[in-house]
Amino acid sequence: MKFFHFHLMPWRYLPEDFAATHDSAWVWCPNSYYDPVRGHALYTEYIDSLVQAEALGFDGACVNEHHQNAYGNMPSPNLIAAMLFARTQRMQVAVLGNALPLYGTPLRIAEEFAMLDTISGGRLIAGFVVGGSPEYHSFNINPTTARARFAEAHDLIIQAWTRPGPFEFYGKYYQHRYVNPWPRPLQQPHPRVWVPGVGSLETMEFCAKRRYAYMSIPFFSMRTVRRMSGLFNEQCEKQGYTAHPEQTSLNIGVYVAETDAKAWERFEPPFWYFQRNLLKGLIDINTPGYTSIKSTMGMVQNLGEFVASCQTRADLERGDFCVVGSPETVRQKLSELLRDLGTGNLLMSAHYGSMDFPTYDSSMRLFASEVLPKLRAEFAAQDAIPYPAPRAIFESQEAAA
Amino acid sequence: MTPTAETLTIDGAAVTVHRGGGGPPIVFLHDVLGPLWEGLPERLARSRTVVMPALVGFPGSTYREDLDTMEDLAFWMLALLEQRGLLGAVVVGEGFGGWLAAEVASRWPAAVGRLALLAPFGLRLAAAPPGGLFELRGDKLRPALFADPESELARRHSPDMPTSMEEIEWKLTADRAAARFAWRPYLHNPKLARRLARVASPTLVLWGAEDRLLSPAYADAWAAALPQARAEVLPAAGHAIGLEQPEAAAARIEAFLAT
Repeated sequence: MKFFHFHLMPWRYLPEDFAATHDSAWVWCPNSYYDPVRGHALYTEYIDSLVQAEALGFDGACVNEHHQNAYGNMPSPNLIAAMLFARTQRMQVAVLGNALPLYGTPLRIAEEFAMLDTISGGRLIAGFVVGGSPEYHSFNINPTTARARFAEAHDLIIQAWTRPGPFEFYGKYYQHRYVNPWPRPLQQPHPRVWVPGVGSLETMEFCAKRRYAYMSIPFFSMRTVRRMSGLFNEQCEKQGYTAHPEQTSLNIGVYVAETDAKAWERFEPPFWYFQRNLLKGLIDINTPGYTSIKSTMGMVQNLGEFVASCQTRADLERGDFCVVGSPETVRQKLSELLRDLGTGNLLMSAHYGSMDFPTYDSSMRLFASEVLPKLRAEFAAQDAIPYPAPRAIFESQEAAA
Repeated sequence: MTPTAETLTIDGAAVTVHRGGGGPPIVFLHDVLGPLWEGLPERLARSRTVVMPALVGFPGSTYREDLDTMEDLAFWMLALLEQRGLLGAVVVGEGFGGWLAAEVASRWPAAVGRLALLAPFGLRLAAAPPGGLFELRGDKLRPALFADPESELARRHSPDMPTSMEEIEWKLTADRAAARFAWRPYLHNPKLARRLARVASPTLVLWGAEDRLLSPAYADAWAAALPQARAEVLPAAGHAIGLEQPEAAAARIEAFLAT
């Protein structure tokens, strides 16, 4: 079992009446709410938190790319990753991920990820994401091109890492007469690739074929996560192999206190701040063509499985949207969920919304001393399973030609 | 009157072409809501034969990965006019369709006859940039398209929540097609303003006085850029003139075609 500390680095000082007076924490949420003096303190706290995860026994940290919103203040997760690598010795950093279609040229991603991997001595996990739908407004990229850009950018990056340069890459969206990045990544043939998914079979097949990890997102009910995980495992079987436990994840909010009652009491206020303010706009902003018509219609029918539909603690518990309680409650629940999914990655959202440092830190410490070692021992057998080598498969029309 | 619908393959794309009425033809190019017969096409079909193709990617047409610019769509439109014997026909275009008509008429002036452009996309005035469109859902989209956002008509075409899967599919398909061609540059072609000088057709430019997507200031810009144009502003009309004021719009168009 690998334990990752997942962080969004949210803005936690939105006005009390924000949800009542604003329709979105994304795209047009006024950046006058961003106070750089408080921002400096927040970055310091959040970065220290992730650095501290190593000493607490975590295997890695997950950082995320988000743009122009109060939800996540890491427009460049690669900068955060660089700082974490400089301040840790063995911890991995999963940049989950870089939003491939948002870059003028994805060659920049091939370069920066190769830098991070080489500088860190091979501790990078390279996450490739399509980017959140509101970010297509924030970066003014045509969302109807998102999937095709993603496929082509992927091909360019993997080729940049694995094909001897210089070579020409002439795609529909990205054209280079000379692809020849220095440095090349230290991990060979390239760092592990993680791709987050929200249930489309195409993405599962894309990952299964290439032996990439298909990572869940912490916003869906456990019923949905279980279904996605099962479908991904099926896709791997179709490719003639059994999914490695570390090709999937349980990505979930976790909060620990001395008793169940205390844990919920501390967890709920910052969580509802997140759910009521920061998620606002994520699905209410229209982004035409960002997902296929079929996928979008599927999502419309399953909105009840999305965390935004929750109103009460009972709703959260019913869907297992988070695991909150005493160390023993949390250990039991996580053990049950991890076994059920057969996954080898716990991506733990240990911080939510407006959670202050003492509230966050006390839970992290309890988790690290009372829960993590027991789960690690319980799932030790997973560590002997070899991780499959990636397959270089290119499907954008230009790269395949 | 119920129009007929037939499926044609134009330049490799299968599209539904709606046809109704009788008399000399009008090619009707629809706006971002998709090929709706309700409103202006239905009304114009009382005096003319209205031919309304589903534009590529919109409901009733196949989606084509390789057609993704207004230039592609203009070439496709030219193929349609040629294939259907409609070269030189009157073209009426609303919003997105008006922009397409202007792209065709500025490239191949002889391909179209008289033009009626209803609040066409295509230009950008720095002093009055286009309002929001693609990012808006339901109740927020209505004020962008309708003078009276709370009317039954507006609520039916832009409901708070679509009531059936068919409605959702139509909306997703129309939105995707419009965004495909008009996302960036947003609702315009920076080259078009200069090219409009080539348009040889007498042109009527109609604008809704309460268009909050593209302000009526655009009517003057179009009239100034086109060699033979006159601009008229309709009261009590938003951007979706053809839905909101079909009678008044049809009367203006018929009067223009009679001169």
